[in-house]
Amino acid sequence: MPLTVEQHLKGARDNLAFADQLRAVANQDVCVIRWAITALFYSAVHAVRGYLVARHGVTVISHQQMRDLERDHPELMKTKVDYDQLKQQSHTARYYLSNRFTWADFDVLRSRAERVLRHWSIVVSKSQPRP
Amino acid sequence: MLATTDAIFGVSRDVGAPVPASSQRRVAPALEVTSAIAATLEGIPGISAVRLIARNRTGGRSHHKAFIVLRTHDIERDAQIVERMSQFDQVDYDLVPEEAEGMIPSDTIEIQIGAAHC
Repeated sequence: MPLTVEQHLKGARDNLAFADQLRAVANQDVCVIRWAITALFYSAVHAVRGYLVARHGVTVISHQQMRDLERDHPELMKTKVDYDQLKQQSHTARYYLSNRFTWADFDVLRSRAERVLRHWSIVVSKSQPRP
Repeated sequence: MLATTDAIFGVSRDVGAPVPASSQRRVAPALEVTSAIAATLEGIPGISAVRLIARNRTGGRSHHKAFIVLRTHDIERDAQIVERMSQFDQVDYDLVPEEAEGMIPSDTIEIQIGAAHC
């Protein structure tokens, strides 16, 4: 069963909150920072996917499909740079196990993730029928 | 200097099937991508190497994979790379810290982006 709009947006908020929990611990273990950055990316993933379900009825199942959708739906460009930045940095964290990340990096990336979530939450709320 | 948008999108579109005959005769698509990436990344500090796996397929969408090796850590600089690379729709890329360069596949070609900026 595909996720609903609400489930995606809750997933986005939960991932952001989870990243904040890791930040609050302020553990200097770079592995914690890497996973906090990864949580930020998945917040963005769910925010965008929630919008795509809400507006286009499309369930995204892969990052490649997401790239294809960016071509078909130019409004996704609104958050593409933030989204791609989060994607690239979390990829570098997960696959290349970069030891260079700091909490200062996290703070910069968190603002990007929050911007993605806020943008698509607003767009979705405006497109939902009022009760 | 950033390559013009037209030039970049021209390359992006040329990588796939509908490449103008004149363009096909002039240069291989992979070489066009190589040149476009070099122009796109020129002037960005802290890049120690760019390596590319060229994947040209006939009759389908082609994808290339670039590995951008970073000597320094600067996520604002990385944002600049991401913004510029977002103009390519058929090039995947990784940002690779220099200490992980050994993870890059050996069957890549190196892209020269100018010694002054390396």
